[in-house]
Amino acid sequence: MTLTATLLLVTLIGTLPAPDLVDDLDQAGDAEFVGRQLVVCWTADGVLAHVTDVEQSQGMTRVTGRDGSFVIGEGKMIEQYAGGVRYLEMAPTSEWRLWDGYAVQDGNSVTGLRESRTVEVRQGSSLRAKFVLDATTAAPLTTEVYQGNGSLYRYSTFLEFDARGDDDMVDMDSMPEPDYRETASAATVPQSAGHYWAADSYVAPGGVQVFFTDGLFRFSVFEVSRKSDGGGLAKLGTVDIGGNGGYHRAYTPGAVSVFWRTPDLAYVLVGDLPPDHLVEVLADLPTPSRPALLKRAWRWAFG
Amino acid sequence: MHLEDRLSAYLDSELDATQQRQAEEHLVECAECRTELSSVAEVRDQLRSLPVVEVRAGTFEDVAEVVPLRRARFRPMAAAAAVAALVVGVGFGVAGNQSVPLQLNQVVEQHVARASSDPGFNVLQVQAVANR
Amino acid sequence: MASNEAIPTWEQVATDYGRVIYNFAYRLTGNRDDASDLAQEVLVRVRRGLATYRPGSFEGWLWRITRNAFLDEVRRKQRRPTTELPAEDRSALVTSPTPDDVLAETRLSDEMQAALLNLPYEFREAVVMCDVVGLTYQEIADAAEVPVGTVRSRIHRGRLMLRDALEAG
Ligand SMILES: [Zn+2]
Repeated sequence: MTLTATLLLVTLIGTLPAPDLVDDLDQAGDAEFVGRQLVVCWTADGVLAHVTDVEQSQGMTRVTGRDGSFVIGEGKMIEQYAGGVRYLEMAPTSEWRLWDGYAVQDGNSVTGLRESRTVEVRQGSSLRAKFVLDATTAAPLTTEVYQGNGSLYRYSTFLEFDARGDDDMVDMDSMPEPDYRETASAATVPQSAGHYWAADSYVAPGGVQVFFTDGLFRFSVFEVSRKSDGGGLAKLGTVDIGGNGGYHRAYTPGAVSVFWRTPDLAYVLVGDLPPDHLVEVLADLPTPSRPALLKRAWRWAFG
Repeated sequence: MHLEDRLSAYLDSELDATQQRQAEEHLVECAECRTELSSVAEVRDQLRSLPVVEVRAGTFEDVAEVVPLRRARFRPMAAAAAVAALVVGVGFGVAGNQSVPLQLNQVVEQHVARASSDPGFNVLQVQAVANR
Repeated sequence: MASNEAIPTWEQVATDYGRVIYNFAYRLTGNRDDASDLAQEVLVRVRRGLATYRPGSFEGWLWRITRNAFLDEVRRKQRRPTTELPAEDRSALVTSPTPDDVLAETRLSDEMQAALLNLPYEFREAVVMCDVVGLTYQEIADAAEVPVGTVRSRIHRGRLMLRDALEAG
């Protein structure tokens, strides 16, 4: 889809409440910088925190942490580790837009690490996210994500920030052929969950990935075989989320992962959405359950 | 007045709700405390990821098998075992077909790869993959 | 552990806590010989003590035993009447790891271990109980028989000292 067509479409749908945020996102994507970022997340399993080195150049972002170095951008993910390279590339995707339930407000200018200004995103009457954007590059120097009840869920901030580019982030000439992920369709995952919509679906190892977003947060639901153990998540104890038991959940500072089984399939959800959104989303997805005894007997008898 | 040892208590979930809110309000305002928080968070993270040392054989002669802790509450060693389990990953049995191995890493990476197509703020999305 | 729960046998304690007691000992002493000796000693004391143990804070009781066993061991080895290990012992501990250690450790964790061994005992203990064993501040306070506020201060100062040591190293 061309840029003009996208703008036209966005205008037609009438979801253009935040032209500033669109500009900011575009500008932030082009920002060149090298820095060090702290991420703290207050989860049901305790406070998680990590510090990583971050650099961004030419639309690609590299994060280096304890687990290695990752470069992402433009639908590509490159992981370089001692034993080699993993290079993932996604089929072309649908265009980004922001949910019209969010209201974006420009806040004050502030001077912290650098000259900057704030942008607040409200959902109804409550503050959902707050960005402190670098005045010159629009890079998000500080980000706060809030739960519906007003408590802080995730806080990330640059401890060091230097607006300069590094042209040699990845030597693309030496990259192997990417592991290319074609689009696909998933039969059992609905087209919307909570206020999130299914933007794209892809082939995934052992199943199908459905990518949901509301423009501010995003998560993927992987529909896989019931025999799957969710990459190890099934080994964790079950928790109750939104009144349903049978979920296995794990947090990192940047994401939550949930695994559950239904009588026919299993699902892995991974994303950066806040916990109250997670409850709403899970309510609209297939819920955890075991095959009913009668159904199992029926299947056994009649296939 | 700076947060000082409340920073550690904050990371360890040892503050009550009021103190936690006060600490958050202070952190948003105070660069000095954010820097100290990050130092402490980094050291804490390194301590919690120290390798678990296996008990030398014969230390508990009469006990057949020493297994990890059975605790519901967060335990770094139990968490380390859980993380190890996540990283090891187990093959997904694809009904009837060849089994395609999938690790949680790969799920997270494929999610982040797609997320990076959206404009801007890559840095926020990539954090999902940085510490799995 | 709730007071209506059954008192565990010492075998159960070895099974449930052996590994974490061993790791606690290893991080405090920095070598596997001492860690083995200490873990054994703790289990001997647990077996002896269980006869008179009354349901209450089992964790507090167990870690008080572990801590006292460690302090007694330090004294027994005549390292010094105080609880702190002398500098020459520390360097010996750090520079002569067994092959097992070499296999298990990365460079970063070696540096962290060396930094831990240089902390004064009460800070090392608080940090290890919190971040290696995973005890709450209250459990650490019970074990070390000091107020919770003291625990909080020791953990924070201990972590800052570790940061300084790692930055200097
Ligand atoms: Zn302060």
